[in-house]
Parts: sequence; C-alpha cells; structure tokens
Amino acid sequence: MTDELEPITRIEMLYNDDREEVKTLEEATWKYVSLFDEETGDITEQYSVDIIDGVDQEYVEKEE
Amino acid sequence: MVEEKPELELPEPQPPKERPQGDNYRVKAMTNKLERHLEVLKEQRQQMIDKYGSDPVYVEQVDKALTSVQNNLDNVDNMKYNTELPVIPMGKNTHVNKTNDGFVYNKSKIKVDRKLKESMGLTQQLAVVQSAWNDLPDDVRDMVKTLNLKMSRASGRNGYQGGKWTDETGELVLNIHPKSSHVMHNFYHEVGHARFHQIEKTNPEKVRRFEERISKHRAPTRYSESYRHASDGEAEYQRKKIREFAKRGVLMSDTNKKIMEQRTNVMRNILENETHSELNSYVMGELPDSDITVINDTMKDLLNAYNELWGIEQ
Repeated sequence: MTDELEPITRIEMLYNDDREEVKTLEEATWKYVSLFDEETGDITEQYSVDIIDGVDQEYVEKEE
Repeated sequence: MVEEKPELELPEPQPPKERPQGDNYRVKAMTNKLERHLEVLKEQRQQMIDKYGSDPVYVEQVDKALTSVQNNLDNVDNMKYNTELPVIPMGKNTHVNKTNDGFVYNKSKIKVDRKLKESMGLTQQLAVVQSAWNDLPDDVRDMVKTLNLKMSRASGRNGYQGGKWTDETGELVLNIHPKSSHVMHNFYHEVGHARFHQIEKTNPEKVRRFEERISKHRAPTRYSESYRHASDGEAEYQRKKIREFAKRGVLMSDTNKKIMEQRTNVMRNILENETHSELNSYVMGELPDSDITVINDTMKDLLNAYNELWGIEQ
C-alpha cells in the first residue's frame, strides 16, 4: 500500500439525455470533463464529449 | 465528386445604439433572440416557396415553428422568467467590428463551422447564438478570446451536446445540433464559466461568500447536484484515508496534506462553478423549470447568492 495520495487533475461525469448522472458508458449519451491544476486545484478546462452507442468519442479519431 | 451545399445567410448585427440597452438584459436579449429566429424562419420559408412552390406540405413545419416563435415573442413580457426573475443590469455593448457571418467583436476571434450554414435547422440555431453573442456586454465578450462554433455529431435522443470553456486560452466552444433545444442554455452555461473564472480572479472574497451561501442547499439541477455527490464521495475518501493512516500509526506527510488540500479545492471549485453556470442559464431564462430539482425557497436563496455575487440589487 502506498502512502502517497494523488492530486485530482481530471474529473469525468457521465450523463444521459435528461442530464442525469449515469454510471456506465452504455447508459450515457455525453460526458462532461473538467481538468484541474495539480498544485492549486483550479479548473483549467471544462468540456463535453459525445458518447455514441456506448463509445466515448473523445478517443475516436476524427475524419478531417 | 461531393456537391457543395449552398450556405444560408445569417442576419446582420444591429448597430450599437439599437442593441439592448437599459436594465433588463434578459428580456431584451430574449426578445432579440426570438426576432432573429423569426427573421431566419421567414427567409427560409420564402426560399422553400421559391424552390418548391407554395404547397402547404412543404412549408408546414416551418409554419409551425413560425407560429411558436411568434407566440413566444408576443408574450415575452409575460413569461414567468421575465416576471419572477431578477432584473439584470447590462454593461455597455458597443463593439462594431463584425465577421462575414454578422458576429460583432473587439479582439475575439470567431470561428464558424461551414456545415452549420448548410442546413436550415442548424442555421436557425446559429442565428440565435449570433444574437446572444451580439447582445453580450463588451466586457463579457472580451473575456472570450476565441468563439468556436461547431456542428455536433451527437446521436442521443435529444441530440444533446454542450460546450467547452478553456480558461487559459479563453476559448469557448459550442457544439450545435439540429435537434437540440439546449443551445442557448449551453451558451449561457459556458459564458457562466468564463464570468465565474473572471470574478474569482478579481473578487475572490465574493466567490467565497457565494460558496458559503450555496453550501447550505442542494444544487439547483440534477446536473449540478451530481457534483455535490462527487464532492461527498471525495470527503468520504479523505476520511477513510485519515482513518487508515491513524490505524497504521503513520503521520500524514506535508506532501499528502497539500494534496488533500488540492483535492478539497478541486471539489469545491467544480461544485460552485457548475452551480453558478446553471444559475446563469436559469437567470437568462434558458433553463426550463422542469430541470430545477429544488423547492422554491431553496431556489430563491440560490438566486440571492447569484445576485450577491454579481452585485444585482434585489
């Protein structure tokens, strides 16, 4: 067991079309991601990403 | 060979002297939004008649939308939002530079995805976003270094899609979907993030007071309340860690104390930030009552906290 804690640098929350939090990608239609400064905890970036048919589009290569 | 679709036109911006002036920002911004939407719908109706003739079957949908928007415009002063929510003073709105798509700016860069101008539904949404952007006070518009309007690829039942605010670069991204009814909510939600970051830098004591006031209540929507749940989960995690250290007789290192402080700040920041953005959309009349999950008295207290943060007289 490590004694070192980790700062939070990223929070991802999953939601359905009714803006209710859900637990799995299969139930989700979008997610909201917040990024934080690892020293201060200040928010640096906030964005939403589509979840299409259970697939997180943040990690799908986009056609240009 | 892919055939290029013709781009639809957006309304011209109003000159500064005709833009919303006076105290009630929300009513005037809402009126402008509805007028711009109506303008685009009428133009699209004419284009359909020019192309297909005046057979009602071709213009039925656009006529329904026209009636609905016109009804809202006729009743704008009597809408619940405009009779029960606080009056919002608006700052100066004087920018005269404009893009080819009619977005006014001072130093902001405006990017509009060409696909947004190729379909009637998307152009309608783009027109109301243009209206909201053009009605922002100068100081709020200046916070946004880049406004990036993109077409959403969301496939959800309501085509829900949101936006993005990057404080470091000042970029606001709005993903627009033809079936979404949330575009204005998303716009004011992201603008809320920009404003909250700004006030944190200039008046941190006001933000601490806001935090204190909202901490007494549930968050106003399921969305914002989800961050309360995350915050509660973090508090439980930290208590568990402290118990574990104590049980093993291990002293909490300075590094770990600092990390716990960072984690606490993260949860506090995200909860107050998201709560503020939801209130910002609500106060602008762009979050339906059906999304509000707290009782009236709680909502009144939350709105009072919002008003105090912004120095709005009650």
